[in-house]
Amino acid sequence: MNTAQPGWLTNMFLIHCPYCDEHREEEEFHASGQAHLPRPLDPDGMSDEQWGEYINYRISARGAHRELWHHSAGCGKFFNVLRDTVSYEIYGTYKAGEWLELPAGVSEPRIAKGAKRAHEPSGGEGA
Amino acid sequence: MITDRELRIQQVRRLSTGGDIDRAKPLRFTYNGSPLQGYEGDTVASALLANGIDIVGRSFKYSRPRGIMTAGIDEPNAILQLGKKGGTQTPNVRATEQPLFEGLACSSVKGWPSVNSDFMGLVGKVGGSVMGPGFYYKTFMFPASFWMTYEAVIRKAAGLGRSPKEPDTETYDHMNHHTDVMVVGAGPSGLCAAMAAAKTGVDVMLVDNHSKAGGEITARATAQLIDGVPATQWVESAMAELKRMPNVKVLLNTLVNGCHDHNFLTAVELRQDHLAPKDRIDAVRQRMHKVRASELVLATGAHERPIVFANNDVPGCLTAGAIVTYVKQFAVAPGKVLVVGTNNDSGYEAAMAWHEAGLKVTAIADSRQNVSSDAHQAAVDAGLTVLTGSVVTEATGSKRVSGVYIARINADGSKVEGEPRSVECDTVATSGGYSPVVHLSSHTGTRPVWDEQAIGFVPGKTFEARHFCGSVTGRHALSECLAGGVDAGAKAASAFIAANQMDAPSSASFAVPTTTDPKVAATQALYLAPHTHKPSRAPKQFVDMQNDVTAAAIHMATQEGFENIEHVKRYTALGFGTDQGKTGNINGLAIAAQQLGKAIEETGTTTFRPNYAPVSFGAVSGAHVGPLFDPKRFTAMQQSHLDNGAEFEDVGQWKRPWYFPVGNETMDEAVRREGRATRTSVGLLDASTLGKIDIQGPDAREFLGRVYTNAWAKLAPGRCRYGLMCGEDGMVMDDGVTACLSDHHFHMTTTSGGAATVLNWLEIYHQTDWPELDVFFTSVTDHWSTMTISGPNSRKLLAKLCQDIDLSAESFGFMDWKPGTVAGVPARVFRISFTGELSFEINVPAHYGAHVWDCLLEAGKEFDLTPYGTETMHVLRAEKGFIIVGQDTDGSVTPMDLDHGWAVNNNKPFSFIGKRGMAREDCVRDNRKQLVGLKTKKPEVVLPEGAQAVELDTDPDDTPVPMLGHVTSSYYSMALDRSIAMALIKGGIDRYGDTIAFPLLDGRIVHAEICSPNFYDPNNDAQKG
Amino acid sequence: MNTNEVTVVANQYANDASLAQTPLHHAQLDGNSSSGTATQNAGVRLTERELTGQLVLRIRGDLSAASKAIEPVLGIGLPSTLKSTGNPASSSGPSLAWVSPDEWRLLCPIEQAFENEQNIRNALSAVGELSHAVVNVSGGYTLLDISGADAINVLKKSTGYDLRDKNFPLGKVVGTAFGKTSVHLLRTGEEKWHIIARRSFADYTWLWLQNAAREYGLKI
Repeated sequence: MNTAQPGWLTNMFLIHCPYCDEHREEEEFHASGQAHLPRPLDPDGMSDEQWGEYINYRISARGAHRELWHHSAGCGKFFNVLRDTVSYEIYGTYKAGEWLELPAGVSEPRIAKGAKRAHEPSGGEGA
Repeated sequence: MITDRELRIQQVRRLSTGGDIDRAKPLRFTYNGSPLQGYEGDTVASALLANGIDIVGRSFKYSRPRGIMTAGIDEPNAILQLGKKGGTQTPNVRATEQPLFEGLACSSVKGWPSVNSDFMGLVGKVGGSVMGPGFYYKTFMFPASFWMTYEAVIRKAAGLGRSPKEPDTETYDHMNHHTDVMVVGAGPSGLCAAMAAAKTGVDVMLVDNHSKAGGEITARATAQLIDGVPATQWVESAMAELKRMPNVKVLLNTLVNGCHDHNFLTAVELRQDHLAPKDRIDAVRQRMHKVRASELVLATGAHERPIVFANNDVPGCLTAGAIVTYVKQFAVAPGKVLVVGTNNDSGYEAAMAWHEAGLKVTAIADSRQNVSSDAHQAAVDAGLTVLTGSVVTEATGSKRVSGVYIARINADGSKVEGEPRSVECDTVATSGGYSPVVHLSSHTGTRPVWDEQAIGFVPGKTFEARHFCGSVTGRHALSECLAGGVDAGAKAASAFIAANQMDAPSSASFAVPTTTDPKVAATQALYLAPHTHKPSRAPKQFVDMQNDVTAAAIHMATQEGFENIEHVKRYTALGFGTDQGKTGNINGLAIAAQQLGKAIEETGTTTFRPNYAPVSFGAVSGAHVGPLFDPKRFTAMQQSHLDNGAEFEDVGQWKRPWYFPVGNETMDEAVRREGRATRTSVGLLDASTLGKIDIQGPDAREFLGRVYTNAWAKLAPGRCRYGLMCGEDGMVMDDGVTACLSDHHFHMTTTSGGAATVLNWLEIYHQTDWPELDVFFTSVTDHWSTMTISGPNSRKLLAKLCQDIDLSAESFGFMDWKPGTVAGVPARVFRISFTGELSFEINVPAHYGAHVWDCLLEAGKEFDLTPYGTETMHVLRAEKGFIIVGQDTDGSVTPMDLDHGWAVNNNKPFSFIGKRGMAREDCVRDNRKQLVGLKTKKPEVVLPEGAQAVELDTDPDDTPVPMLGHVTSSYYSMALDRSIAMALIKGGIDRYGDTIAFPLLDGRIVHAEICSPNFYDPNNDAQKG
Repeated sequence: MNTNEVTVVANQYANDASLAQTPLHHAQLDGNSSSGTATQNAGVRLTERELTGQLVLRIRGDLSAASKAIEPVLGIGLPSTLKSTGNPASSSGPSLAWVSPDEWRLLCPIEQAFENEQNIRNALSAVGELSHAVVNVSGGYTLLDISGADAINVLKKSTGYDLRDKNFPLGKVVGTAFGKTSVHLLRTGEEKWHIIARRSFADYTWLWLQNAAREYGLKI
């Protein structure tokens, strides 16, 4: 159980929590930014520039985007949301460590220069 | 006292019969202080019109007199202030929407000093274009200072209502709903949709902003038959049936104002606005319903748009539909002699209603050259003068219409042919066709689509499960509305049933009600009636009444290069304000498009945003006001704190005792007393707000090593350790003491404000990056009450209440913890110190917190035990140089900057969070700001927190002056009898002994010596004692 | 099991009930005091349960094996997603509520909390390849019972969760936003729910409910 601070008017999404397996109101959730940013396994072997990219550079997506959300007022689990940043359509949600393919006809976001591309999952390596 | 009879005589424009009003129930009200009378069933607008009130406001820019123009939510002019005084006032009430009640007081808001003779009106007339389009932009741009001069006058003159300064006396709340099918609009199509959906057994919610269902049927008292009975009667039986169905919820007086993502709707129900204040019960005035609909049916109808012509804002100019509504629903004729201007069949309805009420219709000007329809025929049969191929080009009169000019036009309606002729009248009704109410369908960003046949925008496609029926689809015939409603309702229900894999309903479906539509003639696309002069020369042709936007202004905007419709809107203010383009939007777009030589579908429309109509702040806030604005969190000892007269400080949502004044003590005096008691005997602090996290699992130790900067591999059970937590950037994020309960079990504490952040921090790493670590985190912040006894007598005090722990220094050392019993209650006691004194932190389950606290106060009497608050805690810790994260750090401070290198272990095998960040080039450079102590040269001078440091030999004229850093914490220390401060100073750790200067805002320059922040007991003997 | 753990798993219950205070002991929730209008026909009834034993159970691994191990201890097994087992409406028996895929909440009489804690630990430790933790949080939460014909309306004002029968049947439990805090809601009867609220938010929750129930009449 968690100390969520739900808003009460501005939350409008209906989000499927893959752990509770139910659609819930957005006020139960907190957005936690871009998903699939695995912590590098050897931080000390990275240059300042590489490390700076890891901690600071994020996609500013127009269209499909993968985000990490937290079911803060519910089960407390973090999961991934694949949604369109223009229409706000949610294509699907999936658990940490899993991957969801984009629906047919939808393309992965165009990445701004310097930003990292969303990582494909690699083995059991977290989300 | 004026009698009811005398007041009744003032209702000069009330028809002697008819209307859906109760003449047996006269209601007294006042308008601008004058006593007036209306009837139960009236709106304020219908009552004002009944009393012959022509002018209800002054226009925004030109201050022209304005009258009531519509009978509904689209009213741009009759915006009134409701209520007499104080917090009971409501600004910006549309008179057309406000039901009349006994004792209602309203006043006009535009116009200063009065609506009938207006100072700004002169300016508007004389100056002509004192405030032309782009006025604000041009004024702002050159010169900026001019605006200040204009503003006072313009704001006062143009104001739309006065916001009461007193608190609102009424209450509001929110209510959440979920429904399978939501139908917005209870007109004929909405009723059919609700019925068709409900018959399948799914949950249906039907919402309408009027007090009665029926939409246009009710507003116009439509005589057309549905299923063989008059339409109004069909509406009543349909409503009765819906209300009987257990799976249907009907909300009337409820306006759906926002249609948000994923079919989330916000709708405000006016529960008591129709009642006199004395009749209002002690309950919610307005309720915002927040509805999540699986399937949404929008049956939002259409707004009739007026035709734009010269001087079309003179009081007496109304929409044709409004005339029908006032005559039929309210038995009010807003004049005596009517002229109708129309481009479709609706205008005839107004003429016939007027005629049947026994009043004179001088002419119907129909822009269409050839008209063959039942409405036209009926007018001709009634002997009315119908002028086809003609438009009203101009109205005359200033405070009331005195006549119009009617002229023949060419076939495409672009120019006048022949000489306009003057026609006598005092009222003009125009109908320019219907604009579907696409607002809700557009709120999430979907652009509406131009429909050439409908001559209007219709809802665009969206991924959300939405269905449309009725006039919003651009199809206005009753038969189409009914059929479309049944279709939409059935589709919505079956979509829900399919999506939820329910069984299809066995019960009979709902058959489309039968009706026979009159023969209609197509509407002509005519928005601006041509004039003998072009718009820039003709008298003002108003497109948007509320914002005084004229056809000429739109022309000027396009001529000045504004081609994007969003730019035209902002340049002219078209569709601004409470109006949001309800009456003027399409006309404005059409005029702009014509001027740009584009089709309307090319120019597109402006963006529709929530809310559809103004909402009170009360409804938005709901119950989240006063003590419920933000949760207040209390510890289990709150009652004792109140009994001891504590002043409280907000720490996040917690209420923490700040200090405990005795008698008339100031905070300063109380803090000195509390601090002295703690240093010399024993003090008591409620530390329950500290975040506490129970950490269990074989990998708990490994996890701690990754999130803290120091080492945890060897911390033995029974021992505690202070830890610093950093972000990946190497900056200090939180700190606290963690106790080892067993090899696999730890008790972590965090700062009071950081508890939730830290727990999330641990969870996000565990759930996404390190799921292989076998560890569990559980918040136990609320489970443990924590009280710290601190001072040389704390051991003696604890010994009185705790017999099962050996408290001797040999057995219970500094940074040890032990389980035991305190005051008869199971406890965990930690020997840690945030004051530098011998201290014990007693943790007991929170339900015993009050008991143990009271026992401590009682047992402590012999030691003069003194409860202290956060302020004293801050002073005592500063005397020891202990940091407070968030006060002495600001997100740009590494552990090294704090001189806390002892709390960083770079030899740990795992690259802990913060290690790589701290190693960045910028984090290891010289001359970073570092935490140091400061002693002012004059010991009595206390530096202000935030004071900026410069070198002693700084030349203030040699700007920019190099800055050295700033003071983070500063107090007067009783223990040292001098001021102390902590500061972040460039390269400060290597500058102990140097003196630097602090130029203050008041002109003083304070000199201070850099020193170690460990001011008090530098060898740390006391806390180890 | 590590021997060091034994020293830590101490009984957290003092055998003197008079020493304990629930967070709303001051809110006149125990007697017949009333608030608002029409309490004779109050549509909402609100009570704070006496001090209740509450244990957090965290389990990852073979959940059916874990459930089988717990059953002999408590007489009930682990509920599946959003479900509860046992009889939460009764204050005498234990009940288990699902909280998260790896978390459950045990509600039991406070006197039995320690015994249950020990027995559950032992039972789970006997199951191989299972990660588990048990935490006593009895002091951290309070249990409110809300009931009555209008209780549903009070809840609809408080949470955006879909409370309709078809979505929220008897025995279901959900963590959700509630006013500006968050709670766990457990349906215990046709017109009856448990609200499990954090102790420090209990006063806010009480104020909130009192305000929301005002128009229906509140009996406490």
